[in-house]
Amino acid sequence: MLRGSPVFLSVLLFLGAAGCTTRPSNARASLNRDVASRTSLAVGWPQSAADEDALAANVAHLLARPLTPDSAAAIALLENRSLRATFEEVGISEAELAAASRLPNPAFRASIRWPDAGPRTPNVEFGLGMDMLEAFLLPVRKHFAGEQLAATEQRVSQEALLLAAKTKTAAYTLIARQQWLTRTRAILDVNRAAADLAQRQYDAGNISRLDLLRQQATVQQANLDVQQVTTAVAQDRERLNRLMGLSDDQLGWTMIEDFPVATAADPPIDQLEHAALTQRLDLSAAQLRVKLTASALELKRKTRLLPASVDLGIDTERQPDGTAGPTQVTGPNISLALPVFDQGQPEIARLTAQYHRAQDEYEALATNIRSEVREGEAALLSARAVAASYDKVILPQRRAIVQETLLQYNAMQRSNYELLDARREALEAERGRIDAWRDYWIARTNLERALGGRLDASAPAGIPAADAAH
Amino acid sequence: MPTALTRRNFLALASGTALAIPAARLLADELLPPVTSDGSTRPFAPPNGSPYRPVITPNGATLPWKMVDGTKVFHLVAEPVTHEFAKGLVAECWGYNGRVHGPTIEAVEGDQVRIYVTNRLKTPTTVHWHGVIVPSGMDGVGGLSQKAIQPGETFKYEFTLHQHGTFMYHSHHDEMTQMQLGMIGMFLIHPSGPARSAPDRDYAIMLSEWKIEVGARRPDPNEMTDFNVFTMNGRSFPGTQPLVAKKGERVRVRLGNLSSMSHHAIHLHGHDFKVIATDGGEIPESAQWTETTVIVPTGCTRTIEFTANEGDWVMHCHMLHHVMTQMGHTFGNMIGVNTQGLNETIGQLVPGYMAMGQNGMAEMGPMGMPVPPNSLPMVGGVGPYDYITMGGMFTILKVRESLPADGSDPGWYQPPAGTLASPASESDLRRDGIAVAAKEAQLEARGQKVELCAPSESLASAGEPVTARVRVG
Repeated sequence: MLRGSPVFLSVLLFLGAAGCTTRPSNARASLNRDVASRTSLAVGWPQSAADEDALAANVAHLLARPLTPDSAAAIALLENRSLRATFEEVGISEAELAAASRLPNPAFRASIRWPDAGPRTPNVEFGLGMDMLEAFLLPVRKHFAGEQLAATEQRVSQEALLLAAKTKTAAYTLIARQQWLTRTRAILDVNRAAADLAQRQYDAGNISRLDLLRQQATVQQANLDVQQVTTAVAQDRERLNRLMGLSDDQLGWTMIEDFPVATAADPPIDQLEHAALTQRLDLSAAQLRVKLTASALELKRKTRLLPASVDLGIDTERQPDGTAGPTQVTGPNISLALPVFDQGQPEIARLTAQYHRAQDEYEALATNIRSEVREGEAALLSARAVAASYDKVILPQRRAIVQETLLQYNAMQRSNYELLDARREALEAERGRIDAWRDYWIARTNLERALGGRLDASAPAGIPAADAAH
Repeated sequence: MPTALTRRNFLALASGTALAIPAARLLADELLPPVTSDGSTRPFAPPNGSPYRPVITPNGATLPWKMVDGTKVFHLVAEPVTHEFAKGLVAECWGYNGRVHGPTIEAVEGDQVRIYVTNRLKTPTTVHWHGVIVPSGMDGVGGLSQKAIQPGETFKYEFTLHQHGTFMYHSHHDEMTQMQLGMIGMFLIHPSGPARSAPDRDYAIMLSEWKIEVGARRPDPNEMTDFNVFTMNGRSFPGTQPLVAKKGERVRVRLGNLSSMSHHAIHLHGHDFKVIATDGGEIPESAQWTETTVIVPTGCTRTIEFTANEGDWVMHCHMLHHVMTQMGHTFGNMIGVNTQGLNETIGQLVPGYMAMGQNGMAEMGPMGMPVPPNSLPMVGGVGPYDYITMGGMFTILKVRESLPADGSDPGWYQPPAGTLASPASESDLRRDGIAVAAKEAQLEARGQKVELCAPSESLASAGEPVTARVRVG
């Protein structure tokens, strides 16, 4: 029997202290580790002014050199504010864990009443109560909240990986667009040369005005093409700026001009489905949810007759009695709901449904991931074949056609215009080649996203052309 | 050039004429005399002397024969032949006895001839004797006169010659393909008895046209309009062997034309000639007309005669596209175009580019630009003074006071002093009052006399552009 407030208060403090736990840094470390192990990139989630300075210096250092797809992804993970907003969900889950780790606060009750007759001594009542079931189930709730935090952290890491993949894709698109611009400008030069020749022929009286106008029209068309590609370059840059979260004085970056040099062959891809199933963060998050819902269901099954809460309390009351004088009555009280009408079946049904749903979602995700991996493999192989055929067959053919057309021109069998046509067709084939390599690198990025990790764990995705010489 | 029969070639031929050759063996290969330094084979001189002066087929040969019981026996073998049109252009053609065109058949009016034709092609063929009056079944039209000669078969044509003149022979089965691949030849029949007036030199030239894509090595027999290789006896200048004659000699040239689509206007420089016969026969003297250019329609022969004047004389088709080998028609007109800077701008886009054609096509030949292999686009020949900018259906008649006895090429003509066109000297120009500068030439053209003297003050003050030494009267 509790007597006296000081004892009571100290018990409360003890219980409070026992229930107090804080583990804020584990989830952030997991986040960093999960992302870094899959992409070799660090996430930017500064917690202090020193962190922010270090991050800003890092970003400035990356921006100082021409960007590569990898460095652009690095900047995105450090600077993208939408991603940081997503990170805060981890903070929210952490708070929920902290809440689940603490005992519920006891409730204090006090009332004072005056009798309407007799002596005017008020009736004072104090009471203190706490939901003991909550206290009893605290470890269980803490466990659940911890698992929930892990699931959130994995889901957020997955968001980071997706952002990295999107950024790399945008970077490859920009590289391809820049190269398209040089080829499109070269095609404009070819058309200008043809129009210039036509002008000279027209000035000498050798061709009709119609033939001259037709040649000049091709120049205008090529001009429009150059403008279109120039605009597309600007759009690609802004897309990258949004993904990288850059603004103000950070906008002057340049992107490397060449695609990375592809490794001689793509690494063997037989174990990829298995690798994806172990690496994919969203899949492990879904798996956690299955575990969680299963545990919740299990728990409820075991405790289904338990009421929702068991309030244990103690209260004391001074009653102004007439004959023997005022008395202090003190004693514990208990309040609980009796499982008469609701014996937990609806809750079990709900938890069962949730469990099954989590299971189905997990299986659906696993099936889809495996299919994505297979699709990604096929796309990568075919993109590689197309790009290789451009390099090995199509471009050499086009160069040979230009050479042979020059010989036929020297024999006066083909005109200047046919010679320039051959050059233009060679440039158009070069544009096809650029697209082919862009598609290869984007397919590779997609496959790595589907895998949830790098394609070749032992080597970086590609050596930037500038470094390949070393 | 060969006269009737020198002792040397008689001996060479006599040993080869081995009468012991069984009839089944081919006569053709063994009896063809070797090529001489003048680029032609000597004509086949008949054994036991000859009642006629054998005709020379420049760049060609005469089909040998042997007498068997009073019948002249020939053997033609129709087969694929790799043929050189001129140095640098070789193509896969079809011909006879290893040659394109087939060897000239030469006989005498009244001869009984027996011609065996072996078909070594992969397709049936026949031979038609163009202009020769033969029995209908010997006429050689595949399907009508006879069943076509199947691959591997040998047919026998036999008939008596009742006429003399210049005729031809050619395939008459799938003619478009087979003739356009080269299966044609000359068939000459000399008059029996004393010749009307035998010439001192007698030449046979077969004209033809081909389409050979630049960089290809087979003629396209389906071409109908855009021929680009033109030949005399299957050769294009500078691959044509020159005709030679001594000054004052009577020269006869028999022209046959089996081009699939074109007539040819054969023009001879330095002479006028009479057209003395067609493939229908002799033209009576009173009806013979004088020409410097004779049009030889396709499917016809025209025989001309003239007295040779000394010099180097060109004989060529006057249809100007026919004196260009593999000329292109899609180059575009670049005459007079200002090409300054083009080599740089287009050269950046296509390395090795050079602007061409501003002043015509004459520069093509000697320029030596890289061209597709096995082609002679618009190439001509080297002459004594400069590049000769023509090709195709073009040859040279060389007439000299005397010719080398061994039949070798007499070299280039040396014109006597005063007969060579050369740059006019200053003294000549001045003496004759010839104005050379453009403005002066204009004045002269208007009929105004132009004198070379000191400038006139009045001209200068009138604001007229003046040269230092012109007075206009």
